Amino acid sequence: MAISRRQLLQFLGAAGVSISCGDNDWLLSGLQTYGSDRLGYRDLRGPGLTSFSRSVCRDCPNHCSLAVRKVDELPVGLRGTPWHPASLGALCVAGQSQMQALFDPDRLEKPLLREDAGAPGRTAEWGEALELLGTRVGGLVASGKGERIAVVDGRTPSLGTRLLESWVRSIPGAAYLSLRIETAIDQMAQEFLGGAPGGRLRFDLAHTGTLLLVGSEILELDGSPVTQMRSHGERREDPLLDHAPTLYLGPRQSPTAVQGDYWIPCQPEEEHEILLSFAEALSREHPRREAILPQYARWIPEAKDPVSFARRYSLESVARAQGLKTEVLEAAVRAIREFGPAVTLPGPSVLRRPRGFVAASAALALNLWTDGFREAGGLSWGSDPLSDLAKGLGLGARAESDPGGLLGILQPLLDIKRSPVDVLLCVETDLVHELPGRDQIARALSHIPFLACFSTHENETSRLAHVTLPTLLDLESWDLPAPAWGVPEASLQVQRPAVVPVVEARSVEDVVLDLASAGVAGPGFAPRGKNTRTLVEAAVGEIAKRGRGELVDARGRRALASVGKRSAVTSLVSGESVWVAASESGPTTPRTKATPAAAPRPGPDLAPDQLWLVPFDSAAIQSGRILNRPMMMEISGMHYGLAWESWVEIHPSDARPRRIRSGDRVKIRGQRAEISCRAIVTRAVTPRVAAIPVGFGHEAMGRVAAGKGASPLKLPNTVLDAQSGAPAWGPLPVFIERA
Amino acid sequence: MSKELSESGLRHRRWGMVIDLDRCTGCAACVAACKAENNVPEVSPEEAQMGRVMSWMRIARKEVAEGERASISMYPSLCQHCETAPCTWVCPVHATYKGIDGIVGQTYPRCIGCRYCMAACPYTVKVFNWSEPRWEEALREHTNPDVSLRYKGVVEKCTFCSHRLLKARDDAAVEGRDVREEEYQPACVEVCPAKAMLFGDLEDEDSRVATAARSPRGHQLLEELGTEPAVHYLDERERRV
Repeated sequence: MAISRRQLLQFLGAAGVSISCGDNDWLLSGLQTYGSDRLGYRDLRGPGLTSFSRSVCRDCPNHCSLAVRKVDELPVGLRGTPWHPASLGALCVAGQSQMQALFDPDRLEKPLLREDAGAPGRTAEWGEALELLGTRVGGLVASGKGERIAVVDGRTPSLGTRLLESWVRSIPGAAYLSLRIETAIDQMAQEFLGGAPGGRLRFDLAHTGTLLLVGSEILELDGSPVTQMRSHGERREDPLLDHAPTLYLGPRQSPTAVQGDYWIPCQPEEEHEILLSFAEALSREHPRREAILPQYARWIPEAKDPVSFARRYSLESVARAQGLKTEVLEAAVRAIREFGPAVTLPGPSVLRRPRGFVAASAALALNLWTDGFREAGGLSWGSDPLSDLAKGLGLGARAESDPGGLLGILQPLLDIKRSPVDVLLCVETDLVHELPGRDQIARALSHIPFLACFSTHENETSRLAHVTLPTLLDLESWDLPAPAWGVPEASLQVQRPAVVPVVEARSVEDVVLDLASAGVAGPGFAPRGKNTRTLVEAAVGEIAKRGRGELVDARGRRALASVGKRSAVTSLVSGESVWVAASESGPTTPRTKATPAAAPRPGPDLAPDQLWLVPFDSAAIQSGRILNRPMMMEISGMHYGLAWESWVEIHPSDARPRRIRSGDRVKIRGQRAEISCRAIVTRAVTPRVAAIPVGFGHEAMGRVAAGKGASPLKLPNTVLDAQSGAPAWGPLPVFIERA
Repeated sequence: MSKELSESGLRHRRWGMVIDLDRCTGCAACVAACKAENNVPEVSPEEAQMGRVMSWMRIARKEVAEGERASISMYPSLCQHCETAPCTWVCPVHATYKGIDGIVGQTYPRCIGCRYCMAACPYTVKVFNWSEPRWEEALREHTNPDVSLRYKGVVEKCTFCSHRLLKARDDAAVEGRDVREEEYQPACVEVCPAKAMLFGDLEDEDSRVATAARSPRGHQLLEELGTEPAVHYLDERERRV
């Protein structure tokens, strides 16, 4: 009897599942196969039987569980999973648009090769592309020049990213860099909390007292926004009751600030001034003043003398300098005192800016005064179950040093023509589009002898790459994502392919494992898995051994993971400002004798007709990486009545003299370039500030994203973070006028 | 309700929604869920410029000046499923109608595209297919088969995902009982990360949604028009004394 294609696929799928499941049926069962368009599913449509396959959304670190709804094996929709503790059935706007990403006609279908940066690419078979990649990387490994290899990873953390990192670190000298800025906050917090390296920052916003957010868009895209939105709702269960307020400090009233109780406006880059004034006010008559205040002296010279500190950072003097009423800051301090424990949480929005590490450090330090570092209702340090699991799977502890950081790779290229690396692998990150100084970054990357990109689309960075390998989307691949960042309860879940890959793509980890099996790896790289599926199966086996669905951290402390001073992520933590959490028993010994940098100097003054252009990140845009989805293009500006285009937010006092009304098209002129977009006149920005979303203005990334909106990062930006030296997002002095 | 219904054992319901603006973060997950569930296509950038975005649910932003600052709120705007729905009075072909259980429905094949209903609706929540909806070839195969695709020249709007109600009714009928409140939830309510939306039977005084609707923080949009919407909003700033 002839067997149909569908029957064959079902047989193979069932056989595969039964061979691999073993004791782990209860976690791995449910993998369903189906035919894609290329395998002729049209004839499979039947009477409409609904089934669900579960997977995970990796658009943000919340890692929401999702279910792919299938009707007669054809995926027709996505839903949240009601019982998952991190999401409880929620699925944000990005997660729901994943179907459009899956079936995007502009997805790369095959590897692309090109001779030189910017040259036309030609389609190639996987064999040829892998051979080229293997030869370039393998050559350096074999000749002991691992320090000429660097990998930049833009994905949220998972077992897969650990595997990639482990492979890189097995090559002596090679650098692995995660661009997830949550890592920076974790590492900074660890210094304060004194936790074991490799752990994670946790917070329980539902039970916190006053919450002060500093550039932390927790209700939009930072941390685990879906979970945090729920916690936020719990905090406000009954608005009539005297609930602890949420305060937001920043130059723009973001959606998180809107939902808070009070927005404290400040000029960009001045957050640390207000935070230090809060510290000064809270320090008076504080029982641990003698222990905590001297630590400020490491980088605030005035803190050496309490009188100088009080004079420089009194609420009155800071309020005057910021153009605020003193009562505003006094009210904030009162709220912090009244509703304890008060928690101050910095976020990526402030970390991305110059001197952002200073503000973030000042924010975290405020918790020392307010008992914000605590298990219940505060910031605490927890072990990372994924780290422990990764080690048990042969993926190794992190190496001792991080040789250069992103800056170590890029900065020499920005200044001179010699590349410090011979091979740069960019994994699902578009450096040219996402980093400030776009043209500079592109020029820098074009000097790298061999640039390889793993990407779903041809983007601005991969257009410069010698080889571009199409990657699988989350719904098509195996992995074990890290638990949601910041939530008290950690939960692990299997990310399994809910659909057969739509294009001929492969996961990054499967490529790496193939390279390793061909000898392109350092000594000691021995993961327990030949491919991502078997690795996840092994992980599930480990989990099953320790108890059904629970991973108990029974291991001891891990080796200290210190980082180099020039790392874009952690330079402040490494030397410039190291805080020691003052425990109940008194201050502990400082970890480092490094001399911190001097307190930041104020930036240049604005010319009278200039404004500060402040870029901001947004959940519906996410640095542009999801703007290839039509749904996101339509929804991103919806609250302003805009679609398919970007905008700039201007205060009425700045719009009036420029005769700008909401909806007008305006030109934004920097030193050597200009961009154009719609203006929105709103009081949700501080006067003299113009806020513009980052992510629009793609020149590649498919027909939906290309040519839509404007990117502020296109304006030449020589602004580098004062502490880490990393390229930072503005603020830029600009001229704005009607187009 | 009609005798026919009571004979079949189905009690009178009025499906309604409560949206807590003190919880809503304006994240637009509900907007995305609605588009995906109901096969609402995106329009081209040119059509978007002309204000022809097709969205059954929108996030409206209200900014009230308070000196140099502003009080800002975001509220999801959707069909209010009014008890006395003006759109149903003006439709010349009865394409828009008040259905059982209070849901204002739309019969696409009957619609002649006159847009009188859009003019009559005080909430501007109806949208019109100015052109043939476009789907990428691959995506067209992956639309929700439970919801029909519309075409050029017809009006459409939120239906409280009534296709889900029909399914829930079918499942309940198999067991010889009525639909339970928890078995029927529109897509927007299901996905809300902030749990800001409640949905259920407003006629059941003990239901969560009816209880929430009676909150002193509750209000309805354009109450003075007498449309009696089935959507209530909770907002501390609108608290009744």
